[in-house]
Amino acid sequence: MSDWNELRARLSHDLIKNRLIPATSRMIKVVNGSVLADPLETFDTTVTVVWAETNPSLKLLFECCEPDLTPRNYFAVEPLVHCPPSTMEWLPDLIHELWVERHDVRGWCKSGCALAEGVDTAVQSASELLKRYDADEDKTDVLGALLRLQEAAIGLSTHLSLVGNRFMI
Amino acid sequence: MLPHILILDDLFGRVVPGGHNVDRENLCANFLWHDATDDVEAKASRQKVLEPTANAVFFRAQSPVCAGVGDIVENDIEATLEVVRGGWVPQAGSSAAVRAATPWAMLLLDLCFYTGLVTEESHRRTPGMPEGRPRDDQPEGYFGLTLLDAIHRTFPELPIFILSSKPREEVSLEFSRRGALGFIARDDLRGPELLEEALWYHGLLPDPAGEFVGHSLLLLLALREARRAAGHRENVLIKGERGTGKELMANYLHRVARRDRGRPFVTVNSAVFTPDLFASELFGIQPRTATGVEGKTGLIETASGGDLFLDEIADMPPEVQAALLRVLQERKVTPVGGRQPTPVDIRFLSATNVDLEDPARGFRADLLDRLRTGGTISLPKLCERPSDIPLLAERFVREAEAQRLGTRHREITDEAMKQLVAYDWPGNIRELRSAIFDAVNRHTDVEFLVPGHLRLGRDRGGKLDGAPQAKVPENREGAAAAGIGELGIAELLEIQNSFNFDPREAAQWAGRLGDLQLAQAKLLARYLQGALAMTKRRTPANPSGQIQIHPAIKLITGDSTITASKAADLIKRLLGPLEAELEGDLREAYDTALRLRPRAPKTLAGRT
Repeated sequence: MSDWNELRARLSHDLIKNRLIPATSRMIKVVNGSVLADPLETFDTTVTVVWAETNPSLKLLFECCEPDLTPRNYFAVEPLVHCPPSTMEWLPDLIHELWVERHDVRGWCKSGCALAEGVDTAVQSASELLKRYDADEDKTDVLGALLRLQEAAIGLSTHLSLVGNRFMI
Repeated sequence: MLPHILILDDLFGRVVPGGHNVDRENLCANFLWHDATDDVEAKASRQKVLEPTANAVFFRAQSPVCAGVGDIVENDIEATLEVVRGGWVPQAGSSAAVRAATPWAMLLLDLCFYTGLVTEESHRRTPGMPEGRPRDDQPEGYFGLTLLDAIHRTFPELPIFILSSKPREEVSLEFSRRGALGFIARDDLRGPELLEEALWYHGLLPDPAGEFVGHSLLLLLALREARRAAGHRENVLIKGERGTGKELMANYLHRVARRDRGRPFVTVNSAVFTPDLFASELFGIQPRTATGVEGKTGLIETASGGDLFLDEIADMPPEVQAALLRVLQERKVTPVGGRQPTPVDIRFLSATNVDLEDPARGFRADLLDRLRTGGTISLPKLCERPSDIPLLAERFVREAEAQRLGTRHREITDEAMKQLVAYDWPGNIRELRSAIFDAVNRHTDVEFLVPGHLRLGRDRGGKLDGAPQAKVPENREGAAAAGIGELGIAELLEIQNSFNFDPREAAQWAGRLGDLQLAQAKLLARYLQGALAMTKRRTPANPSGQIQIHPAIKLITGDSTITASKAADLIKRLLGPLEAELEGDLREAYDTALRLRPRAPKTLAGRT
C-alpha cells in the first residue's frame, strides 16, 4: 500500500469511522440525556481532539493526491526511466493528464476538501453552541448541530472509502 | 436483570496507561452499555449510562492488557478462553456471587487484533496500541477468526457475533463457517438496534420479569426458543414433565411477543372437556330467541387475535381432537346451534408431559403436526439444571415467609442447600416449592433452614403436620412425594376413601370433628373455585374474565343438564358453611346464587 493510500485508510478507518463518528454519536446520547456526562468537556476531549488530528492530515491528503498517485511517477523509476528524452518531453505529461481526466482526480479532491470544510464548520458550530449550552433551552439546536456533524462526517468517510484502488493504474 | 455481554477487542479492551480509553467510552455511550469490566478504565469512566441495555465486559484478548511504549503486544488465546469460561454458565457448586451473576448473553468479537511493538508513533496515534504486523490486517491472518474457532469449539452454545469496522464481505463465508451468528458493522448507526435484535433472537437472556427463576444453560436455551417462536403466529408445542413450568412457558411466550401485547391469552385444561361439554365451551352457543337459549362466546373466539393455551392435551378426548383439527384446518368456528362459521385468528400453545407420538397414546398425528407448526419447546427437568436449585429455593423461602405472617427471616445453610441440589426432584419445581413451603411452615421460629427441616420424597409422604398419617397406597409414591397440592383428584379421592383413623392416636381426635367438617367444606369450596376460574368468560374487553356459576357447576358435577336454579342451590349449599370468610370469585358466586335463589341455603351436612 502506498504512503498516500495508507494515510487515506488511516483517516477514513481509524480517525473518522472509528473515532469521529462514534464520538459524535456519543455526544448525541449525552445531549439527549441518555448518558450523563459534561457535554462541553466530552466534546472537547473527544470530537475536538480527533478533528484537530484529522483536519490537517486531510488537507495534506487532498494536496498530495495528484503528485503522489500520478502515473507520471512511473517515468522516474525502472523501467520507464530509460525512455528516450524525446519521449520524456511529452509522454509523462500526456499520461498524467489522461489519468487526471479519466478518474476526475481534481473533482474528487475538490469535493473532498468541501466535505472536510463542511465537517470543520459543523465542529465549530457545535462547539460554539456547547460553550453557551443551556440544557433547557438549547437542546434542540445542539442536537441539530450534532446531527449535521454526524451526517457530514459520514459523508466524508464515504467519500474517502470510495477511492480504494480507483486512482491506481 | 441486564444481559451480560463480553466484548473481545484490542481497541476497546486495552487499558490506556495513565489515561482514558475514550474509544470504549464512545462505544458504551452509543450502545447504552454499562461498563462492567473489572479494570481501571471502567472505574475511571467519566460518564454514566442512565438506562443501560446491557452490562458490557471488555477484554483485549492480548497480553499485556496495559501496554506502554517499548512493550510487545501478543495475542493470547489461553487468557481469552479463561475470561470466557469465567462468565459462562455457573455450576451447582459455585459460590453465591457466581450463582447470582447471569452468564454471557452474547459474545462480540473483533476481527483485527494489532500485535508487535508499541512505538512512540503508534502510541501517539492510539495510546497503548502497537504498530501491527503485516498479517494482522489481512483477512487470512485475522486473529478474530482464530479466536472464533477456539471459543466456538470450547463453548458451542455461546452466541457469538462479529463486531468490526472491517468490510463484512471479506469474511462473510468464514465467520459463518466458524460458528458466528452474524456481523454488526461498528460504524453502522443502526448498530444498537441491530444488536438488540440479535440479543433477542440469539442471546441467552434470563426472564426479565423474573417469573422463570434461574440461568442454567438449558433454561436459557428454552427461553430463547420461546422468544424465537414468539416472533410468529404459528402453533407451538411445549413439552416437559409435570412441575417444570409449562403454563409459565406459555405465559412467557405470550408475554414476550412484542406485537401480541394486549392480545387475549386464554388458558384451558384439555382434560376437563368431556365430549358433552367441549363443543359449547370451545365453540360457544348461538342464542335462540324462540327457544330462550342463551348465547355464549366460545373460548376459541374469545382467544381470537391472541393465544389459546391448551394444557394437558394428551388428555383430550378423541371427539375433541377431531373437532379441534377442523378448526385448525379451516380457521373458522361454528357455535353450537349456529350455521354461520366465524373466522378466527388464533395461535394454539399446547402443553404435554407425555410422548404424543407414541401410537399407544391414541393422539392424532395430523392434529399433533398442526399443533407444532411453529416448533416444540422442551422444558428441562429440575435435576438437569442443578445450578438453578439454590436460586429457586431462596425464592420459595421468601415466598413462604411472606405468606406465613410472623415467621422469621431465614437463610438456607450450605448443608441444606447441598441436600436440595443433590436430590433428583421427580416432581420438579413444584415439588421443590412444596418442600420449601413445608419446611418453612413447620419451623417458623428459626433463622436457618437446616437439613433436618427438609422432608424430601418418601420422607414427606402425604403426612400433614400434627395430623394422622394417610395410608397412601404404594403406587401413589410419586404423587405423595409431590405434596398434597400436587395430587390429582383421583389420588385425593383415593386417599380420602382409604384413610383410616388409628385407634392408638385417639387422644388426638378429641374435638376435631368441627375441624374436619370445616376442612372438607374448604376443600369443596376450592374445587368450586377451580371450576369458576376454568369457566370464566373472557373477552378482549375483560381478559381476566367474568365468573359463570352455571357452567362451573356443570363442570364439577359432570351433569350438563343441570338447570341454572339447581346450580345456584348447589352453590349455596357448598359455600354456606364458609359464608363469613368468602372472598373474590367465591364471594361473587355466592352472592350471585343468592340473587338467583334468595331462599336460605341448606347446609351441606343437610344435603349429605
